[in-house]
Amino acid sequence: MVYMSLKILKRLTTGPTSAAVLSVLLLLSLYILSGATEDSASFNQQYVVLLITILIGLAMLVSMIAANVIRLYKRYRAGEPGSLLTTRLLVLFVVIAVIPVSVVYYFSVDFLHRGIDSWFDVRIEKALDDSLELSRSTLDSRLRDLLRTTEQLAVEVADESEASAILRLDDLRTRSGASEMTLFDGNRIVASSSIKDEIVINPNRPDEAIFNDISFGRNYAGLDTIPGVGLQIRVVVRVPVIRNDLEVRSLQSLYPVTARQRELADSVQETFSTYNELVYLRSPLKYSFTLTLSLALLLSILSAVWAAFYTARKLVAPITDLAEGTQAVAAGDYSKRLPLPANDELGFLVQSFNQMTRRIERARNDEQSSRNKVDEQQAYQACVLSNLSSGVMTLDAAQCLQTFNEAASQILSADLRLVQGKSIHDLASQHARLGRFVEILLEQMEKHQQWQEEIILFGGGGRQMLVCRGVPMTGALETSGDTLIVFEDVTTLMQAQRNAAWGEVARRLAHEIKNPLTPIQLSAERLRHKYLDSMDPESAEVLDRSTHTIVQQVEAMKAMVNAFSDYARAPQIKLESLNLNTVIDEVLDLYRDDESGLQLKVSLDPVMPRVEADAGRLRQLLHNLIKNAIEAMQDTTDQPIISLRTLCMQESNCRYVELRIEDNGPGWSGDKESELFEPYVTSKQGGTGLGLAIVKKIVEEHGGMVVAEDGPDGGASIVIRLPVLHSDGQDDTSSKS
Amino acid sequence: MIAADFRVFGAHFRPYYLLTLALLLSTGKALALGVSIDAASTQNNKGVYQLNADIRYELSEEVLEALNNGVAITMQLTINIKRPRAYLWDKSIATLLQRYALKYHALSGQYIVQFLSSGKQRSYLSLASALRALGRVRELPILNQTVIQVPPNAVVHLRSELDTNALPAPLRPVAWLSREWKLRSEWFTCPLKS
Repeated sequence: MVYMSLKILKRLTTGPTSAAVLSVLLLLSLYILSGATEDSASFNQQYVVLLITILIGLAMLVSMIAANVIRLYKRYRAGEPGSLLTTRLLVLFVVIAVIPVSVVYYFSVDFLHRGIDSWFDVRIEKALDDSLELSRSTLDSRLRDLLRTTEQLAVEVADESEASAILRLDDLRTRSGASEMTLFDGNRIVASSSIKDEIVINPNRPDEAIFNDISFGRNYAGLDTIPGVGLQIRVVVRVPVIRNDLEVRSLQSLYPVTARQRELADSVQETFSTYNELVYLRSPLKYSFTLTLSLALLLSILSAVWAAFYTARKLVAPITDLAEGTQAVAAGDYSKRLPLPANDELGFLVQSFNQMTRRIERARNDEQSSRNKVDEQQAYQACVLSNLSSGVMTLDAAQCLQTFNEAASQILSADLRLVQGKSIHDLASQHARLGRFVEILLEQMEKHQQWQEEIILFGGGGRQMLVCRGVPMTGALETSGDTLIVFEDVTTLMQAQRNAAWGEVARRLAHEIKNPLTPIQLSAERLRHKYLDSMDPESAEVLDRSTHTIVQQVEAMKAMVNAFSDYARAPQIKLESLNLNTVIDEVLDLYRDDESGLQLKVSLDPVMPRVEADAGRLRQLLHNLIKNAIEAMQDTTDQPIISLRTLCMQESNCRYVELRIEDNGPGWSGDKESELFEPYVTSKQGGTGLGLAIVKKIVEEHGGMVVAEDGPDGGASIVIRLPVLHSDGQDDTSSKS
Repeated sequence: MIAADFRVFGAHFRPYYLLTLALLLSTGKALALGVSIDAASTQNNKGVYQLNADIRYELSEEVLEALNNGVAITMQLTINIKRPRAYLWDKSIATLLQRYALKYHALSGQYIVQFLSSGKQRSYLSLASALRALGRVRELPILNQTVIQVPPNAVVHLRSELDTNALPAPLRPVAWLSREWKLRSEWFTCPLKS
């Protein structure tokens, strides 16, 4: 509240309106002041008040200017834009205002003084002095005559007593031509008098000083202004004391001055007095005028200085804004808009500036948004690429690897990041098995046309078949000459096709073979039953052995055909959510008390998420693997050990459960890993070669993968990975139970 | 700024202007150096109250100079008759103004005292006798008992001063600003004798 009041007060005291009002008021006061010196009675009393008011107003103007100066100095010190320009404009305005006003003031004061001085002339002064002197001297001679006359008259009344003097005085007055004659006694009291004018009762009384002079023996003669009569000659003389009974008396005679003389004397007196007064008043008059003029000058100059401040500030404000705006634009801030000062050239400039920044801002925003779109597009493409199962690479004209996706690295089993930006030859030199791949790429790229090729790679992982497609890129200059290469690992696909073919063969074989087996067996048994007893013992033995062999082999063939049939048959899989650890525990229970001395090492991950699987198929899988391991170790080791380990793992956004089964048997002993899971591949005598093939089939039915590798201690190792149920959280507590 | 002006136009200014300007900024308290009332009393003469007063006038150099240069000096005697009240300010019964003009008659070399209320005038050989005559107030009727009922405790306040407003116009600003021209007595109080 106080702050706001102060702010309003500040606005009132510093605003242009207040200064203008103050100036007008001061001007009005000056007008009244000058009026006061011109006898304008109504303002006479307020002269001092007016003067003080004006001085206070001037002090306020000075303080306002001082505040402005301080503010400008601070801005100048702070290096604010526009302060220098404001200072220059200010100095210019002040110089323009002050110099002419000062010149006018100087000449005004000079003119005023000369003008007032010119009213007066030394010669007139001298003439007036002379006329006064002449009047006095003219009167003086008459005064002397009259004094002499009166002194003689005094001798005549010297022996007259107060009582008798009255008649004598009348006579003397008439004789001398006096208008009034009075005899004063020793106590300066009128003893007797004679007055020409009968209306006047009381005689005129001289000044006490005259009586004092008389008592000292000095007679008096002088001009005197008598009330109601005008100028008269007053003569007062001492009456000689001729008798001892008489005191020192005085005789006063008033002699009239002739009308003409009086008129002239009055005129001389009046003119002299007026002129003298004017001469005397010359100095105060100059003082008054100069004071008023000086105050007017001060007011004008201070108002001009203040106006200069205001104007300079107003003029510079849009320029300062422009400077700040330009700096902001240079610093990259295009949102800056300047206030429009007025509808003039500067206003037009500011308007143009605002338009310019608005357009730049719009253009920048458009550019930014298109850049964002490009970025989004790129991110989208990168996402698509990284999630593609096909490998994608681009090579530039110099056969250097530019871009690639994750699948490319996986398919080629090489870290392509190491060769990014480098020649594709480096890839071949780092990975020998990719030599063929690189060779074909380069070969095809030279043709500069779209191509497709099947490439078979041989390496540690076995045979790998890639379908590779290349497209020379055209269009944008930057990528012109680059080649886009897309390739897919079709090994699994081919494998699946082969497996499917094998399954079909097995199914047909089983069907075709199984059908005649039963009649063969029944026929053999019937032969034996019918003819064994009726034959001689030698023949009977042959028949018995032969039919037994037939039946036995048919049985064996039936079992084999059933196994084929099992492999080929694909019963409906029943998926359910289950815990792999539980299934493993159940299966292992069957082998724990094995008489062959089998040792089981089980390490199950306690935090095991649930998987979606068919429990029966999983049991079959585990039985197959364990049996396989037991059979493999049967003849090679006395202390068979099977270790089972489960782990929950995560690899590139994909969670899965890993089951690792290792034995301490002879290992895969050079068996080709890729062929291990193919049907009818076996290293054991009497094996159908379908055990691992079924394992692989079950794993693939569950969307998992199976890998055979040699264990760290030389035994065989099978790694199975099954995907985790999507709905299953990371912290599945059910697995802990 | 003002000082600079004085330097530039110094030839036209006199030092006392600075004094007057300084006076503007100081308190304008009236000084009673030149006029003082030595004594005052009243008497009742047949129902008319009369005032006797002895006032001493001592003119300053400035005033003397003006007087001798033909400027008429007007003195004003203000007489206030009041009834004192215990609980409020004094109640004014009557106010009387007596104005006297003192001027110099160059031709006769005498000083003339004129009673402005009556128009009567008298000339004096010297200024001292003129001032003496001016200060000797005798039997000045101030109140008629038959016109106004006067309470027994009424008092008379009187003060004499130089009337600056009666001066010629150009002299007024100087007179208002200069303490040389501030001739004014203190208020003198005497009882109104019945």
